[in-house]
Amino acid sequence: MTERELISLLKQKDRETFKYVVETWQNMVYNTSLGILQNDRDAEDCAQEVFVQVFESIEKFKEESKLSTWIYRITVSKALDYLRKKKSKKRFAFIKSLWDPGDQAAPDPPDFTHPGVMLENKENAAALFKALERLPESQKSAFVLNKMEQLSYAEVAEILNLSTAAVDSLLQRARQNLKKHLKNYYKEISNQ
Amino acid sequence: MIKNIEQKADEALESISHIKRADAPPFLFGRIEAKMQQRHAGVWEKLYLWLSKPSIALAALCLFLLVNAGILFWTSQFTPQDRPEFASVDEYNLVSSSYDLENITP
Repeated sequence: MTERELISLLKQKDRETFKYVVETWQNMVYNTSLGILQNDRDAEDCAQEVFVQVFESIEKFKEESKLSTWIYRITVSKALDYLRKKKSKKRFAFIKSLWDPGDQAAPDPPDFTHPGVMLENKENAAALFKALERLPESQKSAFVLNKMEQLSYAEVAEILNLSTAAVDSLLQRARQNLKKHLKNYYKEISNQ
Repeated sequence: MIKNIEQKADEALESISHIKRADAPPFLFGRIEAKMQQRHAGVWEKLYLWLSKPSIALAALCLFLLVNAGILFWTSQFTPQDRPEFASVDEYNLVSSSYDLENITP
């Protein structure tokens, strides 16, 4: 089946075609969400929302890019929305806990460990993901797409609607910021 | 020590170089379908789905029992004299001789 035929059947809301789309791209969507959200439950919720949106908005897909590129765009957008909502909930819970001392905000979750990281790298990777949380959204998205999804600069540029030079600049800044946060982290550890 | 921290930071940056893609949880398609069905359910279907949650059904049952118990308790507080609907006919002088309907003079 060509991509054009696939899109045409999807626009007709064919269940089997939609099932095929989910099964083909679920790992891609889940992995990208996991990189941004760093929580498997949130990533699963996000992945479900992405495919619901794919099904409901397929008529709006203009076929100017590949279907996978469009799905990546929805994934990044949904994951960042999720992250913003989660941060504002956390902020609200913290403010609420100031008024009501009995109502303590939920404690910070343990360090995130990605299931795809090799055992000998788990500790370093946990530190890296902690630093990744602190990056601005654009740098975080570019880093996750390039490093975790192994996409080229050109592919990342197409997804994020940027030039390749802009992606290169984003990734350089991401790397610099990550290194800065990691050095501070290791300095703190060595001082303890 | 500074070189060591620098080295550690570089190692951390490279720690996800050969990262494998995480697998999506099983039965994702089933969950997506269930989510879509719930979203497109009508008002009555949504109400049924909400009420059929065990916690909601139990809370509704408890509330129903509580209200019934409250009413029974409240009504048992009154003696017959306290209840206007059971007042004696005499109190209102409701005797038929007071009202001679056949011989009413204008």
